[in-house]
Amino acid sequence: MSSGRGADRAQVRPTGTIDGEGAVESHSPVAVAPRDSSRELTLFGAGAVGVVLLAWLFADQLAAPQLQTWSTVFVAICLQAIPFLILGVTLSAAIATLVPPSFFRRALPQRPALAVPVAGVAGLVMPGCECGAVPVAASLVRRGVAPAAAFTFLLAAPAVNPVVLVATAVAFPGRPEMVGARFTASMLVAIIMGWGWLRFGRTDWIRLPRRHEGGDGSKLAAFLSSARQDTLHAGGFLVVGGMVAATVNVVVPASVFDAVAERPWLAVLAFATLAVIVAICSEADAFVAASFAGASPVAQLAFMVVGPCVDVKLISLQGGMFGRRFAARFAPATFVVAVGMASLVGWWFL
Amino acid sequence: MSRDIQALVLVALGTAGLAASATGNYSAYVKPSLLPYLVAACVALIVLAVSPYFGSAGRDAAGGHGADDAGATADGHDHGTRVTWLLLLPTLVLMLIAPPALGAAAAGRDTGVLSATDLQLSRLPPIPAADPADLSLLDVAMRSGFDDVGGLAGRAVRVAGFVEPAEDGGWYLSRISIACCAADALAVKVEVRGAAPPPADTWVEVIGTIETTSADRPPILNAGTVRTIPEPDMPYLLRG
Repeated sequence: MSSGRGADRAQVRPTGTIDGEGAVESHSPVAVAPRDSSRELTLFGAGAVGVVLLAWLFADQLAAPQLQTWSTVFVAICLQAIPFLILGVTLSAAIATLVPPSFFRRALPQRPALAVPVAGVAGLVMPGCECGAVPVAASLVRRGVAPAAAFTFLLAAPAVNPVVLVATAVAFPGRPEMVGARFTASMLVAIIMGWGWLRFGRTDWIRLPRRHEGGDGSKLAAFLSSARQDTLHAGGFLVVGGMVAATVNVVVPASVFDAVAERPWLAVLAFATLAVIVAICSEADAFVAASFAGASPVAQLAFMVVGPCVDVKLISLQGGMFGRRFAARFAPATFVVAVGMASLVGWWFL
Repeated sequence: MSRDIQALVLVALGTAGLAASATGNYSAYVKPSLLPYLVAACVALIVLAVSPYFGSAGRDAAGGHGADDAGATADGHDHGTRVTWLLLLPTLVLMLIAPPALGAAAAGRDTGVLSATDLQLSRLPPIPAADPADLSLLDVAMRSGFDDVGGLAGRAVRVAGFVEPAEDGGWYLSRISIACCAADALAVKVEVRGAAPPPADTWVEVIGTIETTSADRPPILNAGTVRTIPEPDMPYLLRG
């Protein structure tokens, strides 16, 4: 079953083998007994009835304004993410099942250190928010692309794609330097993190989720199966991110940020932190940054640079698709590098 | 999580999204231009959910639950399956709570003060010649920071919005503006004087004149008439 993947392993790779695939059991999956499945279905049905009953009983409490606001924001984040998630899993399933591994061998330089900047530029082609980039990056890693290049793509794609750049230009009319600064800072973050992984990263930090080879061997079946599994897997973590962001939205008062906007250093850090916890998609964050009237351009830049590469949705997704040990190291490092680059580029350009 | 449950979860989410799209409720959550992509994505969710049951893959797997289940292995669960259950939450919230568009409660948490640059002012469409001039609340708010209220000084305007009660017994005429989805919502408001507050969250149209106060407070709308109007299909104003 895994023989094809063994050949893929002899690819551009910095160190060792990815541990995740080794975790796949060598025996074929045992068929689940039909009795377990119908029992699950019965429980599911009973649970559904129970939830509806509770909702009817507590209808008044559910109408509370704070809960309604939370619910609206939560549903909004989920609905807005679905198209980008589908785009991401489509691309990721295509990479996993339709694109031959030799394509990546030819398209990317053999040396990982050179593959990193190329992967950063490749980020220009994938529109959409960060929800789609994570499954794609996981798929690239499975396909034997050097993890450093895959992570660079992961950070670059949500931040430097054309839709985001156009949105930034619209949100800051007459200030093209904001677009240039954002592009430069985000690209630097992606490349530095990629090179950083080459230098400091260890593949045993990565734990890819188990992947079952699906279907009867036809390409379409394999493609659909891969897309399905990615959707189920990534979707759940997206929801977690959405829940956190909705809670922040309701709990944190806007006045906090008016207060810190006055002090430069504090403002940069405060807006960077805000970008992490509100999980606004990268197409819209320019408009939100532009609306922070009292903030310095550097603080606004920090908000736009940090958001697409580290926020609660992303941290959740990274934890789910690359393992918690990975996310615990990658996310904070990305935050520090992003704040640093935003400050540097901001002071220079703006 | 068996494959049947996985299919149910995805179909439920896709259906909920399609229902919100069909009824127009989607406009309470995301911007209108997202609609075709949302519909396409929800259809894709349903297709992905049912695809294992069709074709030769379905026939092969009919004999047992086969190799397609994410995490349904003999030696226990992997973390992914437990989190996958959370995919039910948006469906449940959408169907059971059916939260409305953001309104007075959300607007109340925002000062609603907008500042506009000269460039932004110059790019606004010209004020309609009619009397009273029909303007959006966003337009009015952007003009209010300038000396002659961006050309509105002394002119009668007609603006629509919902009622947001103020702490001192007065009220604001407010609207929520979004860039992409309800998560990036910002309120924009004017303080209404000279009219008694209607119930919170009522949609009304006010005719009056605009007066600016200080930079950190919303402008004042000295109301002439207040008229209740039906809630618009698109409750949010679009920024950008």
